[in-house]
Amino acid sequence: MTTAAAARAAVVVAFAVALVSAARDYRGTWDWLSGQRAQFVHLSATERVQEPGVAQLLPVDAFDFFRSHLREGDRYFVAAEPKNFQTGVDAAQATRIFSRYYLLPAIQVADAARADFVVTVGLDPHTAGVPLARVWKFGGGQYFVGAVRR
Amino acid sequence: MIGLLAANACYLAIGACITRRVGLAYVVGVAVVGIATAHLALIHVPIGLLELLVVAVALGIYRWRRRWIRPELGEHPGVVGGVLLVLALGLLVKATAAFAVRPLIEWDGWAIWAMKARALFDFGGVQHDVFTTAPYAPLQHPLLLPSLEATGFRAIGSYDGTLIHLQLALLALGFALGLWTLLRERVGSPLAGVAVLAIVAADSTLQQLAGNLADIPLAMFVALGLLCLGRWLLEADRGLLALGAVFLGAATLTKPEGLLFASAALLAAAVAWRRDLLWGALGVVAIYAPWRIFVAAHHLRNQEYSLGDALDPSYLADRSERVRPAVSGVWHQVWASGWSWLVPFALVSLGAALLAQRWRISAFAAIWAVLSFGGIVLVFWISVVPIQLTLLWAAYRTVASLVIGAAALAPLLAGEAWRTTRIRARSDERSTDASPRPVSVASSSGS
Repeated sequence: MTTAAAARAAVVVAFAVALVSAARDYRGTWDWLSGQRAQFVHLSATERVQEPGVAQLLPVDAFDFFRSHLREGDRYFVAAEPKNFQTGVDAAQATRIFSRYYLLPAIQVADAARADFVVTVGLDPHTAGVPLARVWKFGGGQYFVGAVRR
Repeated sequence: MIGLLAANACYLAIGACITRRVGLAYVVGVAVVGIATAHLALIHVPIGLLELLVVAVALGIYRWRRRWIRPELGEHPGVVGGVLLVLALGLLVKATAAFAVRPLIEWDGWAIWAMKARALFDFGGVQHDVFTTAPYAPLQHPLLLPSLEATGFRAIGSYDGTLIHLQLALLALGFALGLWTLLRERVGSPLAGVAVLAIVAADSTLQQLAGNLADIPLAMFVALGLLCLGRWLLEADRGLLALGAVFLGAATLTKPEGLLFASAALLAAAVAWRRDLLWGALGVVAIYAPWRIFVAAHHLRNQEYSLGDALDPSYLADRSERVRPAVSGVWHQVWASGWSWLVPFALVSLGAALLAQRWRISAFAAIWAVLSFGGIVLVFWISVVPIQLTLLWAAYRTVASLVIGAAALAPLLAGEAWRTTRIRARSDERSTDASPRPVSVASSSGS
């Protein structure tokens, strides 16, 4: 076989490989897409908003409580009781990361001294080390919002 | 949803003023608007539907009155290629229906990308601390995807974590049509169609895209940029080089790894050194520069790695135990079942091009793939995150650009092999029939 014939044979093989590649996954991808639509089409607007936290088993109603006390541009500090959450992420870190998404357009800060509010999970907000004018407790658990005294 | 579709119609209109290729217009528009809005976000200028309409109309009037470009619908797809393309588009229409109801689920999808998009929508730019302070790390991720999504939110008037996925599905549709258009001009429709179908049907492509991570959009820009550069190598068409610079520039603004894949592509393209390439490279640098200046001005650091460490032999030696797991981890992900047989498709196509002695395009593809693979391994080598953890979190998606880019180049390689061997066979026949004089095919082969 000449190299030219070998090259043309390789092109035919390449086409066949791509065709098999597509055929192997087409049905699976189609079914996955069907499953995704069936799984999510019935969610309410509220459930869609909460799903990022719900999917991570985070207490989204507590974050709704936090959000109800914050307005656009408010600065808040997050403190949470450290405990295991999932590989590579502890509960305190998960709380901070979900807060920064879910509590927008309020702004998370790393230093409580720069905050207008202190948000805590499983901790007394006074432990943040800043004077608080008022503290609200969520009815469903140890979740607190403290307004920093100015 | 109507606002989002109207914004996307503007992307199409803007793209149609930039390229004559109708099939490429939408994804060119997305890239150009994405680049522009990412830069404007840095100076706190939000772009919404009204601004998009004004730009689209102004560009349309300019094109109509001054420099009219005749739209080209492309060649007839042919039966086999047409069927394969329809199958691919059918899957993407199905994806659009599924994505339109999918909420944000994947961690990085909401924790990084949707968070940045929402902040850009809320604040109109990078003011406040969201883009520059530690609680919002990682801060080194550039803003093309969040800017594009924020533009969509402005068009619909509110933040919507579900409709964000519709934008991603439309991007995938644009990518498929763009890929088809670029391939079809150079290779037979069966090869073009099967490549588009194989890429969109691979499990990982749409499943990763659904997560609102930037890796698949990055892979799409890289693949289109590579294809433009590959065709520029063969045809010396400056228009293709310019389009390649736009797509690779968009890649640098989509994820930090975009700079790696774009640099690898430009270095690989140097196998055909022409002065034009310098202009293409400068175009990519110009697109990337504003973001790099912002990063430097705000002292934003990548918490996972510093590229400077890659130049420090003692640092590399101290972490040499990471090389073996990094190589095997990345290699394993390149061959993972989620990519179906895309890698074998690319390798067999490269083999065909080598057998046909298409050295230049083969060298371009091989050098890009080797540099990209090496670059990915290097990033895992110098990272400060425990190697098993970073491989688990990132390797499966970091290889997306490598796999999809290679698969996008595959039909170009195979098509060149086919074209060259046919031309040579015809030349041989003619020389045998007519006279013993040898016939050169160098000019027609483009090598």
